Amino acid sequence: MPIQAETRTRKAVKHNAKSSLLDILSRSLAAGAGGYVASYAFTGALALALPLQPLELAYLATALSFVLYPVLVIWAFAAATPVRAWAGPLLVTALSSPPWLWHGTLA
Amino acid sequence: MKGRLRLSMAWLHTWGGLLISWLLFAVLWSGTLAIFAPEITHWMQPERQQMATSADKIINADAALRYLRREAPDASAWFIDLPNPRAPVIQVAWTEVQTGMRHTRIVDARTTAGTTPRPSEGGEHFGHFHADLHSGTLGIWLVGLTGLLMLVAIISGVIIHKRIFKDFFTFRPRSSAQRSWLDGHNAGGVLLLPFHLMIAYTGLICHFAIFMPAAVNLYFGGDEDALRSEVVQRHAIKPANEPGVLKPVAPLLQRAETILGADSVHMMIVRNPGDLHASVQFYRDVDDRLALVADHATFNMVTGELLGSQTEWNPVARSFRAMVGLHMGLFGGWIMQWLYFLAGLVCSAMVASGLVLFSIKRRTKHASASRGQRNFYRAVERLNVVAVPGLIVASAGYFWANRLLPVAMSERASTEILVFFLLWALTAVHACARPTTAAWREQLAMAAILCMGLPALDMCTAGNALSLSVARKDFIPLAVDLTALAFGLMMAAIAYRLTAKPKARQRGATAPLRQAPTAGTPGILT
Repeated sequence: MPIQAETRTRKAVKHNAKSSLLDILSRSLAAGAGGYVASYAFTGALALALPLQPLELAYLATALSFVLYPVLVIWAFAAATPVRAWAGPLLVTALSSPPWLWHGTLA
Repeated sequence: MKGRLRLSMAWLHTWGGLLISWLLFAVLWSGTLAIFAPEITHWMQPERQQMATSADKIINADAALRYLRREAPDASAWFIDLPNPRAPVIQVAWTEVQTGMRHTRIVDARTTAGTTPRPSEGGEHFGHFHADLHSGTLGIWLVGLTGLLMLVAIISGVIIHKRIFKDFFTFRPRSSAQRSWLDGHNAGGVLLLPFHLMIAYTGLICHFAIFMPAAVNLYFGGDEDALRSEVVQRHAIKPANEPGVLKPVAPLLQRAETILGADSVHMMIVRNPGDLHASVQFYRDVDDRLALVADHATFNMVTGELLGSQTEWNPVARSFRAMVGLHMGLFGGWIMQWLYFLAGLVCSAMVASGLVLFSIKRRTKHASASRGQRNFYRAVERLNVVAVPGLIVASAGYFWANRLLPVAMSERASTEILVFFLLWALTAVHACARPTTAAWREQLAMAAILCMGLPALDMCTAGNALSLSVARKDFIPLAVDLTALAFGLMMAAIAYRLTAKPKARQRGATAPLRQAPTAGTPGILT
């Protein structure tokens, strides 16, 4: 990237960062709380949906959750807008919900 | 788009990294020391170094059982560790049924006499601090948070990296301070990237059911023990409440080793020892396999009947335990333990250099910083001192406390740990009282003196235990002494570097920035 362009972007980001502590708080919440809820939903959904023994599901689904969670944290800070930052964890939670709903109707 | 992503990741790496690095350094440093926990414990309890063991495993096992029959006939279970290369003693333990008090003894193979080692957590202190900061569930969560943010810092660090391959070969120690610290940070990060990723991820795996209980809640009611009992078979029998006489252990041990592998058993548990339903469970070593699963075989110790054995494991559970094994680094022998130790040091140094780098970068902007920002940067610099050299001083001081506190004092083990925390608090006071560079230099020098003094302390306080242990071909105490000496020399070299050549390094630091050094700012690591 040309140096001038980078300086412009840097300035723009700096300006944004200064003007919105709220943005940082919102993204942190999307990363921490949103990411955790989404990872929890995803882990449970995998554990309910995969055709394995319970003990295997407990290990495998949980092991995968520790891959997803950091990625969601990155997403929340990489997203172009604060709305998109929340869209990541919300989408994962929504996609993870069918097995939970199915499980709920059986119980 | 690409530039924006890189900038947002740079922001996350900087501030997320700063937020977690003080604690992360403590977790990594203590974890590095915990690699050698058994050896440190052996050093910290010189009583262990003087007990005779036999080359014949049967004699050792017999001595342990004879001691326990004599001293703890009413215990509900006896725990016996037979001599192995990393813990060359016969150690027995039992829990009093009435009081719940746990007793540990070292048994002499020749005389079957027992000694109580001085109360000390030994190397386990570093392991406990690493896992939960000595503060229970809250500590486990805090350590989990550092693990998560370490993963985030690794991912964002890779994204902001434009030239990951070139950095293998880039180190400019004579360039500006900021650049050489950046090179060091990058080299440490890039060279051992797989190790960093592995250790952070598998660390989360170790407490998986606490951090992410979703699946365990669904199938096991949140009970990790219920999950474990589906993986590990149990063959113990309930007590019959009728007296029984124990069979000799030798034939049982031999039968166990035909099931588990020749010379593979160094740990056994005897349950209900005085009962008709007494049982003995033999565990296979785990130091030659990645997966942390111990095959086991259990016999009725009165009739000699095989109650059951397990050498097969659920493949998913076994893979999962392989990740725990990767984190613990018990496999591969002493070469692997040393590699883990060195990788842990590099990992700790990478985090420490990140902290220093944050301060140096801000330092160059000091002239334009507001009063509040300057105070914040000062606070960061002080916390860096407490977090890095302060913790090293406290850790070295813990070894000194182990030898200088009276052997017979009450609450001895927890007092050692109290000294560790008190020293750490003192380094905070010192860091606030001194300018930053002086605080770094003095605390590193202190750490160097404490570490280099350890061999002398060992010889002064443990009598001739060192020479006796060497004569018995037990080189662990000597290795701990020499490692401390070498590490102390390294600390001394760094402390010396902070005093030497201020001119050359200052020129490098200021020239490319075309900025006069700000008057009145206390020196930092330039």
